[in-house]
Amino acid sequence: MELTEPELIEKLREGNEVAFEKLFRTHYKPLCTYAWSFLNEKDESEEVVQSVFIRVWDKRNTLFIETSFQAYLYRMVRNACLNVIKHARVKKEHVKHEMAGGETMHEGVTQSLIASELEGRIAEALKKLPEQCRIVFQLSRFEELKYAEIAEQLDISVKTVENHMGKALKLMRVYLKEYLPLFVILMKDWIN
Amino acid sequence: MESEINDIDELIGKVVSGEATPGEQQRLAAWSSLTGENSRYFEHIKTIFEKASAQQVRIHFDADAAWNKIRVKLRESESQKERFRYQINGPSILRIAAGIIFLLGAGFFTYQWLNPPIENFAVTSDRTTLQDTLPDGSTAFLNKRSSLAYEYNPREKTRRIKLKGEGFFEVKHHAEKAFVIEAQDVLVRDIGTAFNVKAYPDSDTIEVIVQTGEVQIYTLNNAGIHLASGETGIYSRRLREFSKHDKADTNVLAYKTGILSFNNTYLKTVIENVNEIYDSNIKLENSALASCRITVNFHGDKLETIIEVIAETLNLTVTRNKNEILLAGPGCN
Repeated sequence: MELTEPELIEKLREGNEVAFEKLFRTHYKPLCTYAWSFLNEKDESEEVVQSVFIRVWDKRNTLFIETSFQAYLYRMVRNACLNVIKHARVKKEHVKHEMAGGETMHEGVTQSLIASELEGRIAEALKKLPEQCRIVFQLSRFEELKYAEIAEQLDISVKTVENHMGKALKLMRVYLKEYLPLFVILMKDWIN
Repeated sequence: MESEINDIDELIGKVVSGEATPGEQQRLAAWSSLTGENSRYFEHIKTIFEKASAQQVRIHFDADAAWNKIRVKLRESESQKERFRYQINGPSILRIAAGIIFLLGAGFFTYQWLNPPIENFAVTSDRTTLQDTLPDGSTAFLNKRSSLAYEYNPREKTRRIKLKGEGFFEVKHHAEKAFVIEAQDVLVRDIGTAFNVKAYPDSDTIEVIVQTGEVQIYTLNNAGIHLASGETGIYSRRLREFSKHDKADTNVLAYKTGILSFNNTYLKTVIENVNEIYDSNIKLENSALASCRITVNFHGDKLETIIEVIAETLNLTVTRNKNEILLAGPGCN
């Protein structure tokens, strides 16, 4: 018989690895996608999610879940991602400082995964966005979160979310200006 | 003009992400029918928004591979813990443990039924530093050999943390829920802050460094002192006295930030700091080197890089032996 999630968690508390595996498999992919909205980097997103699960396992005895297990995991992943970003920011500033006037570096990791030209350009444009704008955009677009939810998760006001979203879209359009002819073709395809 | 564009972008954002009210949808429709340029502008942005989803779908996260990887790590972290684990001692212990857990669980629910829930949470670091999120959303970064227990009692509206060792806290501020750390004999009351508390049981002093915000540190018999951002408070357990210092030694936080900053500092001190943070065993070949001074900053650099930089700056040679890294050179005047 299939166990429900609360039952699985009870088993996890007892140190049952099978239950843990089940929970892991249920939540792994969605959490990775969620982490990716913050980090925009596949390996790093996976690492964050894996380390969250390891932490859940490590403290399974004292696991305290206020709401749902899912909400709990999302919060852990979100905090971990924000920490990674904060850390990366410090590092980036350092690099900037070290090699003044140096070239900006690209981590073209998702590159090979992107098929069409335009999608590739969009991915690049996303990377160029200011961090908060990008995260807001991705949470809205990929996680399909409501503005109010994004505001709560990032601890900012709804007005700020609106602002970031508007700015993100505006900047994306600027970055992608040269590829506008591609859009025209695309839009024609849709109409037909 | 600029502000109008911004408004429009926000409006478009709302419409494409499904946040717009009917009124706002109408407003945008009116705007985009105004000129051909407007309508193209809207179409472009809409296309970007819609097309952006395709790349995400293409990223494939492999749960099987991840599980295989994580399973190994679970075993590792398990064997690292010397803490008591019931699985090790066979099935009969397991049954007893399960029974105890059941009783605890039953007790807990009865207790919860009679009382409002108290949030509990505990975490211990051993040989490495450790970061964790507390149930209230605050974060704690523990130095090695430290532990904390978190408790929130809704009746007292207080988030209480018992700290042993050293930790850096970024407190999620709730006006109505106090945040108090008990560090040995000293209490630290946060007033919306990021701060470091160092309170190892074997040390006479308890040190609090405030990075941002402000805190009050006190004991049960002493109203204590108020610390603002950038200030350090030290409590001597022997003298039962608080003292306040203006300038914080930022290297104290290096275990968390990875930032070590030295300003005309003796090489001996530099090496001590690096050894502590990196658990390394760097030694100076002769005492003449100890008086060399160096000015340098490191931000989360690898140990090798740090050694390289120091060696390069002071013209030292580096010898790596089994358990130690030896720096040699003529010394400084």
